[in-house]
Amino acid sequence: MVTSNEPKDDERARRTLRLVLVAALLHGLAYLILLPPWMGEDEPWHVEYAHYVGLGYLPFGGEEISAENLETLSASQVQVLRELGGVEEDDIRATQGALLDSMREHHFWERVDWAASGSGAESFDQLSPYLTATHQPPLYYLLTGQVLRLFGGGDVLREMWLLRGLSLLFYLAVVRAAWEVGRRLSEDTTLALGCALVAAWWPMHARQAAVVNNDVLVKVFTAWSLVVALDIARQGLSRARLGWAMLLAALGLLSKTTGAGALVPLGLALLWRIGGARLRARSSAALAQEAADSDAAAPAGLARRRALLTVGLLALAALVPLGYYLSNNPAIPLTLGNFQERLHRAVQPEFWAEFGRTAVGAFNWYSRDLPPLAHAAIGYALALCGVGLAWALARRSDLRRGLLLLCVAAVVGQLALVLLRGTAAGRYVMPQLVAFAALVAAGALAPLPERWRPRALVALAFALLLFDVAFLWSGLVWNQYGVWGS
Amino acid sequence: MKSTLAFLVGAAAAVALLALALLALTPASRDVADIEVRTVPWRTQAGRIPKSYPPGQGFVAGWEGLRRIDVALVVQGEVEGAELELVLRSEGPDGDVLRRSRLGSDALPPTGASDWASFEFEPIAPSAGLRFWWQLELPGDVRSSPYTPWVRYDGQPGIDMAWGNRIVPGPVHEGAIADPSSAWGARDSYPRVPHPNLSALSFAIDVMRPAVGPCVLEIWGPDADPAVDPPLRRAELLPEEEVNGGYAFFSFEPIADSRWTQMRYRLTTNAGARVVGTEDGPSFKTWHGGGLALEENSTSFGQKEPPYLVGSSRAGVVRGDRSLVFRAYGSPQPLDAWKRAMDRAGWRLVAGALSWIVAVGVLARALALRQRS
Repeated sequence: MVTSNEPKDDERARRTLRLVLVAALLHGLAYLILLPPWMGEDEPWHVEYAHYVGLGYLPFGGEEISAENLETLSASQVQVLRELGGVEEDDIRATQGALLDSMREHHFWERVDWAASGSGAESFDQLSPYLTATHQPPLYYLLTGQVLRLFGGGDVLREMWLLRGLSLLFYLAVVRAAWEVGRRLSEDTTLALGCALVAAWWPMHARQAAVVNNDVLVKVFTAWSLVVALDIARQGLSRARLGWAMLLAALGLLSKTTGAGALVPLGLALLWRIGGARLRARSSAALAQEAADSDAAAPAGLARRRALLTVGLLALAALVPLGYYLSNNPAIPLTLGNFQERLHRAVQPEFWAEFGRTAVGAFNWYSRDLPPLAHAAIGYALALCGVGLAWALARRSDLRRGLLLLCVAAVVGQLALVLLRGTAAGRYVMPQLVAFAALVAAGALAPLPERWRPRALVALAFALLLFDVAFLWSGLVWNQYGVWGS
Repeated sequence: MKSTLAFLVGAAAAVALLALALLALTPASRDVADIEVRTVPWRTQAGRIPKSYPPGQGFVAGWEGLRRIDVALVVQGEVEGAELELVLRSEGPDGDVLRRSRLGSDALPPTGASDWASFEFEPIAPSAGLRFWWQLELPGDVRSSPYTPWVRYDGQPGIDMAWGNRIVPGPVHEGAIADPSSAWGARDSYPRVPHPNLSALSFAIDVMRPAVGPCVLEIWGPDADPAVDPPLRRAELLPEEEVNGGYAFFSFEPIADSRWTQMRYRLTTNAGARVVGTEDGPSFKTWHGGGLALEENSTSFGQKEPPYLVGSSRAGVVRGDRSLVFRAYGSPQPLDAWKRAMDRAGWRLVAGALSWIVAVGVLARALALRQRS
């Protein structure tokens, strides 16, 4: 009976997944349509970088710079010269000029309260001194630069829309990964649906479907590396899994330094396997001694697995300095004083208030917020999920608790990176959004008996919908179009 | 059939929630400012209001029934018994008085605070598309007020020194246009101007009364010698531009190629002036670009869509390159604020709403499928 239902259940799960992805696509599309041009944080800087690569300049091989370069270029423009190979000064000036013109045309300064005035601005430094995206790891720009070459760049606004389309696809890839994580945490597909729902409907994530920056790419790699980490933890290490783990971790680090968060669940999964393998080795060796009084070495398969594990751990360890070398990871303090300063900053209530504000709901380049009541409601709802999660972890259930703990570690690891970086921005925790979604879904659904979960899922969906409607319509849309400064 | 029903129920729920969000979760049109100078942070205060030279601000209203003007104030000194009166005129600072609204200290921000003061009056109809000018005046015989309005210069900040801790002696102050303590200064061995189009310097001033004697700023370029060469720019405060505990703005024709040049300034004041600074000299800020053109001189005059700003004033003398921080409220129809938002959003609002509603419908269908399994 059970066997005969399995194909039907699988088919139903696949249909559910397809519908969720279509819903997520439309949801992300709504954000993409409604977010006005240049209203993604740092978007002009990232489009600028992709534009140069689209023009054929390489994201490395820039020239040595000196104070003399500042005679002809502003500070942010000089950094472009330093990072990109062969870029012409005229191209730099023209690109920033075109971007600023487009920002003026699309009312950037009316919308962003901290931006003083756009009239007469000729370089990005007049909006935010020294800021540039060109020091970021190169992968996102190599990819987006090729998209611009293939589909016709040139006009910066058109380029922005093209790249926002790419962000929509990345958003869907993360929703799909969330489903996969849910499937691994429990046999019950309700949890998978819950994970995908949280990932798709968490408003600040949905908004990333409409923003051009490398945050949107790094989260794809970290999300899928979490899937691989869960597989390693659950099913053991194979060459394929090790290969995927290495590849995804490396691609994440080549996209953004926040991708270092992927190393936490991967590393823990590998350690878990080592621990498990040792236990198994001990018990099998004891059995073998008892049965055959043999002093032969451990089975050849076990030795091979150990070797693979060692290689995996070493490779992951090597990725950390590699990532640092590539990108001068801002999460790594360079001096003890700097480390202490960051920690001191991170324990201040203001740090966490800012972090919460930008993770839950902030608009117009973080210059406006959701009302405090909305923040409080989200806080209480998440606290409730936290209680549910603790309950689910404490008692026996169909949840794979070890894997869930790996998700907890992933979120904690990413938060630690935010702390070390000393900059309170919600988007820096987004690389572990899928792990976060899994915890929320598990907290909301897992404490309940299986038969009640579909209804609880509807309640979770409704809560997310309420959050989304408040965020999108009375927050984002209202602030972008209803409230302009003069 | 069931899945279609689920889709429709989901989409209907989405429509209902959307309506709820638009109508119940956003402020009523009446509580939305018709025009607002939004600037974060409030950076430069104009100084305590003197009786003789009241500050004012002009704007063209977008909605009918202008009924309230909020002015951002910071309070320097004791407020007991202090009052402020907002006088609203038609057209310009010399126009006919339309309304007066007086507030006592109990309705104004307390000592040390920085907040909005709300001046309400009988609604003016019609007001849409008409030009108004408000001025803050001191009732009675008082010569000065503890209240100081915030002012926003229409340009990008460059050098941004904090308010100093001492009075810098001397009627003549000279130096490089640079802040050695800032990142701009620290990264270069030469003091430099950070941005192009240098258009103003604002100095921190304890007291400056240009009516008593001239207060002049002169600027020299990188290769000029102030001892022998004429200045590149010269700006003099008007007699009406008295400053008491605020910033004195010296604005001039923008210097297009100011970026990364070494410039010098000389500020010459009358004997009674008290310039605020540090041991390094006067505290000042530079401003770049911008310069809000006076409505009459603007090429867009008559073509702009109301509401918009038309400059600020001191005792009726208009300056088009800066605005006082304020917001004005009209008496719009209930949906006027959303109509304005729809005008700005255009097709995006409809397309985005459709996509969002269908997304929720499809989601409902997915959930229904899960319920049946």
